[in-house]
Amino acid sequence: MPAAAAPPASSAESPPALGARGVGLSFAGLRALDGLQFEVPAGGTSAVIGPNGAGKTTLFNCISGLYRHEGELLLHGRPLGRLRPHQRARLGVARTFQTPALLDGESALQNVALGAVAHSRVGVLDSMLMTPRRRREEQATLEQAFELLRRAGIDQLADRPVAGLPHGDRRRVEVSRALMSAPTLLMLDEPAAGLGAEEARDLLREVEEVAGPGTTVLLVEHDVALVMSVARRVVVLDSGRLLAVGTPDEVRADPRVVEAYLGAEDVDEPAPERLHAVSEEAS
Amino acid sequence: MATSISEPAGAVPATQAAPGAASALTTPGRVVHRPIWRRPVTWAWTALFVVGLLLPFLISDYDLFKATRVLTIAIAVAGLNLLIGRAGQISAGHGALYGLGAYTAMILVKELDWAWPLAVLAAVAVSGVAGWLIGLPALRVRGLNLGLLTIAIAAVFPLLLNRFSGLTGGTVGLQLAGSPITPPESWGLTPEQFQFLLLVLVVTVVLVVLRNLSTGPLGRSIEALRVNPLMARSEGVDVNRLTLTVFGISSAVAGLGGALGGLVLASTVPDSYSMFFSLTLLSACVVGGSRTWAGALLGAAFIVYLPDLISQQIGSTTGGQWSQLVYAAALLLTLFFLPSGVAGGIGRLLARSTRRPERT
Ligand SMILES: Nc1ncnc2c1ncn2[C@@H]1O[C@H](COP(=O)(O)OP(=O)(O)OP(=O)(O)O)[C@@H](O)[C@H]1O
Ligand SMILES: [Mg+2]
Repeated sequence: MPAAAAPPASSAESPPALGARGVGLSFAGLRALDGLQFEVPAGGTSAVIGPNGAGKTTLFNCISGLYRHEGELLLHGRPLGRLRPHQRARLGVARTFQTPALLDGESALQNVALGAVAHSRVGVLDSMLMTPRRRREEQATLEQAFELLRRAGIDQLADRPVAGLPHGDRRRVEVSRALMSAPTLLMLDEPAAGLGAEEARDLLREVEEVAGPGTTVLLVEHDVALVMSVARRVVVLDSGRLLAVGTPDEVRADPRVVEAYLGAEDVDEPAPERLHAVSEEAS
Repeated sequence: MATSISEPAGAVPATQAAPGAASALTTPGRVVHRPIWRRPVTWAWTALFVVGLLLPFLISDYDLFKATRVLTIAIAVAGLNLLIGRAGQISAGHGALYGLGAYTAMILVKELDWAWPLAVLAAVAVSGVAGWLIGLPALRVRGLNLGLLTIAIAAVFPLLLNRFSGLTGGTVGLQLAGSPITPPESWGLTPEQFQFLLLVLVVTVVLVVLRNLSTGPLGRSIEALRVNPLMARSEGVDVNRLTLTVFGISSAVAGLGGALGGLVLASTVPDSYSMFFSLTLLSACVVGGSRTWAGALLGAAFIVYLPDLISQQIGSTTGGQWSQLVYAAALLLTLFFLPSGVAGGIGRLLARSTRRPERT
């Protein structure tokens, strides 16, 4: 790691899980992200919030490596540069999608097992010839996948095709898949959408517990009350720009946030736009 | 309570038809493997294999010759299944790769006096590399455009054969006095019997290898590539490399079928590998069921026996043209009424009829 790349802020502690330096992106004239500069501390849960179209998902796509962007992203102090998505996954970046992206024809167990491919040591020949290495890895993968389903409380669905599962269960399958790769940075794009407040809180607590201290969870979430209660650091985006970044208390007190995003309302009250995702996903 | 992973309530008949499809299942608390006697699919394939071994002693050499052709084509269709059914790519040019395998093997045997097994291996390698190269544009072009591009390859292939007539014999092609694939004297088999038995073994190995490829970590990656490439990437799948690998393997398999087909026939002519042949393979893949391995056999049988059937009905000369029409019609009808192909449809029916009592 080049010395220049080391984050200036936290010299004594471990480098931030994620650093953004002047991250920007345009879609055919639309400035989706603009000069983002922030850090997400290593460990625990942090969150990205902002109104619809603020650029939250786009930011996740940049971190995943799905979009090319201006500026620099750093993972644990390491510049991600032009690394391709699969390389980032191997470095420990995992994510879920705003709409769960699953292998619909496959069982929940198989879907979770997909999360292991990032670190699979099984080559094409191993696969074709069904070598002992492949058998061993497969058995270990399936057992671990099953354990994750058990901890998510849906092991009874292990053999069920995910196509027919209710939204909340699909969500849990996808989160379990992301956990399967033992990520260091786990991005969850509105994991609580379509879940009740109670369920959402449980899900997040579970994720932190299963992921362990080595994982930083980065959350996109519309339910501000939920975010404020779980996040260590909150990144507030608005129309692609960084509106504020800090602890929940700092962000809550920031006049720009109150004015531009939260409006005149008390932040603990649900604002209409925060309900958007819930109603959209409810089934 | 414990239902098998490979048989999810009729959603994926494809995996059920795979030879000995995934044998793991979960019982409350853990992942276990289903004992071999509880895998009906494995039993069905074993029975089919035994029938294949007995068949040469039950039917005439003429009928065997036809059946051998079914198997060489089934190999190519199985390769196409991997590409289309599993990886969600498309190739309307697999006839050219089959032809490339046939020509490579014939040239090596005829001009360079290679032993036929070596020639076949070389043909597999050549077709594999060609397929890998065809995969390169597939990294940028998808869907219909990729179909058109591969059709173009299929259309150009016979022209290339004529262009390089020094090597390929031009329009008359290459002929051998007889097939080099003959049994050792002492075995007491006719060449047709030997060739058919050889093909039964090769088809078995090919299907097992393809099944292995399409399960486990690589199988999940391939599935993800088809279902959602963006998701596949962020799960850690090197989508470009996987696409090329799948194109290469699928084409190598097609070349294997072609090499054996050419050597059994002891003849290759450009007309056999026209664009229509490529489209015929495509229709075999879809009609049989691109996500089932049994579909490769059914599809191949369909395209080999159909022209005969039609000729019997309406006289010999126009039979060939009518078959093209029937292939096309069958392709469309299958797409409309049996999207998972004939084998997929049968698999679903069987699953429905066998699972009921189990459920209680
Ligand atoms: N692939 C794309 N092409 C063009 N424009 C895009 C693309 N993806 C996103 N955008 C635009 O970029 C802006 C940011 O979108 P993004 O999906 O990141 O918002 P978001 O904060 O995730 O919103 P939401 O809360 O609705 O999920 C929006 O105006 C959106 O229309
Ligand atoms: Mg979004």
